[in-house]
Amino acid sequence: MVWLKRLRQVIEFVVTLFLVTLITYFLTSKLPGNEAAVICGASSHACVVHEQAVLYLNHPFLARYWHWLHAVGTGNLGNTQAPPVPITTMLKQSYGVTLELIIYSQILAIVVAVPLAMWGALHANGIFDRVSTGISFATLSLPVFIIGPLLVLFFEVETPWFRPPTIVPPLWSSPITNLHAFFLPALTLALGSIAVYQRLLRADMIATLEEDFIVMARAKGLSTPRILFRHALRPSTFTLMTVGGIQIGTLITGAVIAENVFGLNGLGSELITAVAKKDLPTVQVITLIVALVFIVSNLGIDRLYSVIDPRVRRARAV
Amino acid sequence: MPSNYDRREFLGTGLKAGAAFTVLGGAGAALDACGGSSSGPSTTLAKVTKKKALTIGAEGIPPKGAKLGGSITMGTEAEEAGMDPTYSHFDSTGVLYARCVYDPLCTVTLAGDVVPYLAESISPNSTFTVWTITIRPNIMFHDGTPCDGAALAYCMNKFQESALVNFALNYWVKNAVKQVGPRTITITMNAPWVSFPAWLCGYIGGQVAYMFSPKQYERGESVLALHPIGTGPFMLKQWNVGSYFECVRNPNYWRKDAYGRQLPYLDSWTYKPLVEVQSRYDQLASNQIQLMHTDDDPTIISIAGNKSLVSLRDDELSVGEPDCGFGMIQTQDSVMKDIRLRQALAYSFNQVQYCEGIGRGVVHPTSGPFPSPSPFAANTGYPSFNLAKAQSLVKSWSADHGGQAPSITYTTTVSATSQTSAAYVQSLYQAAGFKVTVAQVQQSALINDALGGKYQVFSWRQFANIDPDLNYVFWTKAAGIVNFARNFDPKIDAAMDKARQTTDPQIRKESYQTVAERFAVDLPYIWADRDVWCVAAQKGVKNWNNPSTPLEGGATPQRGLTMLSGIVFPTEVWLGA
Repeated sequence: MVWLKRLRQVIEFVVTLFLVTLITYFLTSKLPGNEAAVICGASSHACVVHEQAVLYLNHPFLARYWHWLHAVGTGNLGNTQAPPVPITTMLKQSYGVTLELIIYSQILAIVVAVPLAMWGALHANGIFDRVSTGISFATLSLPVFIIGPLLVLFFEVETPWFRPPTIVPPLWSSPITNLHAFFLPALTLALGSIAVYQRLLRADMIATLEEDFIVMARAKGLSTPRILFRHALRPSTFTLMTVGGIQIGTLITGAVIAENVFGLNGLGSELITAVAKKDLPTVQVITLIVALVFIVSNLGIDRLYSVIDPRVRRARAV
Repeated sequence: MPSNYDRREFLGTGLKAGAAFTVLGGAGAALDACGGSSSGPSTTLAKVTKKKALTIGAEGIPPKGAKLGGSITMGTEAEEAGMDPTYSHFDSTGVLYARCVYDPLCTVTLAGDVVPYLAESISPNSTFTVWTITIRPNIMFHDGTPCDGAALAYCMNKFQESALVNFALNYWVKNAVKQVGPRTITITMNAPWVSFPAWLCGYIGGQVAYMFSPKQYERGESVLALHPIGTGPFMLKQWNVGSYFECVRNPNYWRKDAYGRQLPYLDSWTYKPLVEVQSRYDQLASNQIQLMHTDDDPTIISIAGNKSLVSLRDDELSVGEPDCGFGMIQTQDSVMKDIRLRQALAYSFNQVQYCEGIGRGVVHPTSGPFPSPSPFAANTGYPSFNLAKAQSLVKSWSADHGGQAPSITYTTTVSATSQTSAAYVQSLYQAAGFKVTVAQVQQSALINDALGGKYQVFSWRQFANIDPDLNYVFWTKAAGIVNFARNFDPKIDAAMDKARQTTDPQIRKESYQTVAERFAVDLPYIWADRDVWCVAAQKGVKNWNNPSTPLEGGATPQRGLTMLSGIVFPTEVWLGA
């Protein structure tokens, strides 16, 4: 009864979403400070009273939450504080930066990690495998706030190779300039992911290469690249996908730091600024977006299992 | 380095809090270590002489036939909360933005004289209770509307109505502004205000100087804040808040240079807020930006060691008073109201060691708001470092309070530099016998707490200005909660009023020295250092430290004041080899 399973999944998604919004609102509402006082300043009592009414601050928690949820649901996200830019405008200006940064970093990570992992699996414990393992651990141990400034120093300050323009054009208007400008920030995020993906994929590939169907493929005389890419890679990627989904959280955290180091105005920078200004509406919206992205991407990855592995598809159909 | 109080933050009465900044300290520390030039304690920087202050960035106007145009981007320490002068508060960054899109009514010369700028003339009556301001003819706002007497009156009335600016205009009578001619207004005061023109120069605190388009203002409260329209040399093209403030040349700007060429020289000017100071420096070093300002001591040292940059510190000022770093005490607090404790804090603070260790030798000790070589500098009687004295004062207090040690909270902002500084200050105070808790809060919370008096000791930076009268609102009772330290001293009020109302420079000097001496007695501020700002530029950026007065109307050009508080003026900057 596939439709029943689908319905259950939809219900689970909605309930999860609802819980995420509730927890997000609850946690952000507990941040110290009076939202109305921040908007109005400390001394304008009439303004504070007005803002408290507008924001339902004198109502019970659930009433406030419902009012907020309704506003968010109808697209009325409010304004940022000082200056009062509509949050939707701020999101339009900044979400693309963070999204591009994360996607670009993951593409870089996969493009580098997959060949390294494959070669390492093929020649396990060889010199290349050991060297790449060592380098992986080294990059894994360096946090983003160390890697970023080092890359800036070597590739922007000391050499002109990756100096971006003052104002980075959007991807669609000037793709080469844009990709060039985003390379170092994306690499900063990617280095940690490369290490993780390479280690995981290598381990899975080693196990997969010992499976009977691989022996069969070899016996049939298939070439090594064909065996690796056509037969061994797909079943070895499940752990990678799972970790990739969980990595979203790490990537978002890393993006916050990378945006600050490289002066990019993405959601991460906006979140830091909003927290610093006690701009609770903005904090709530960005936190909600991040949580939603996390849930949706993990759900997407869950669906991807079925696409990649027919066995999972068949098992779910039963 | 004490964290900054940005003036814009203060002016938060009834307003949205200004932008705050968070520095991810690890990045700066790591790069600092790799850079290698500023990781140790004090560094001997080349002294900024008067000659240096006058020649650096002062190439003069471009030679005849020079190719003009080009674009410059300047990295700033923070983003602005809005550009409406009636309710957005302008600190150093705000003044930078304002100088792009607005013009001030007056400006200050190298000699310290206030002369008309956008105004054609400004003159008082014989008792300095009525000021007459005439705007230049044929000036247009960027939206094509005239900047005339009606616009001038409109702007001034809005300032008087503004909850933000109003308290600074406490000498204005009700409905003080009257339009008396097509280009002329009068402003009536309830007492002589001799130094009023200093408020019209557009420096920190003096945003009443900036004339904005009434038509734009009428469009709504936040419209002017996000889309400022003035008469300035550049027009706002796009403001991506938090990312860049991009302006393009005003083709109808009213100023020309000595060769008859229309100003400004550049095609565009962009400000890029780069809160992370290391990132700002890196972008300058890699020519992603062409100018930057900072008061971060380690970065100033790095800049000094970078031969590919031209830089100037405001150690040596042609006119004006510098920023000072200090611990600000809430003198009405139940614990801190005891003068013995304030004295103990002052005696326990080793300024020399602080400036050497925390300030890396970049900043200098000060014992008041007028550090030498200010014309108002004098021996204030401020307590010198004396740990034994501090300890005995604390013991005296403890004896009156059941033997317990005084417990205080020292509050600063969230940044790596602030953390380091706070830890050091904590150790000094604890050596005197205090129990010190360090609290770190975001900048906006700092300002709101200051306005509400909800603190004991704040780490603060403030008081830079072109005239001490602009600090009237912070030092007197008139402004109420804006006197953050809540130090209501009638002698200070009297001295500030006396200085404001006199034309006698000697009386002014004595009055401000009285103010500094009263600070040494009341101790609302535990002075740490005379702060130093630095502006650094790529070598191709010319004439950024050489503003001049207008030639229009046949006036004799005069040089404006040298860089103060990280502020440069874009009007006469050009790009050369």
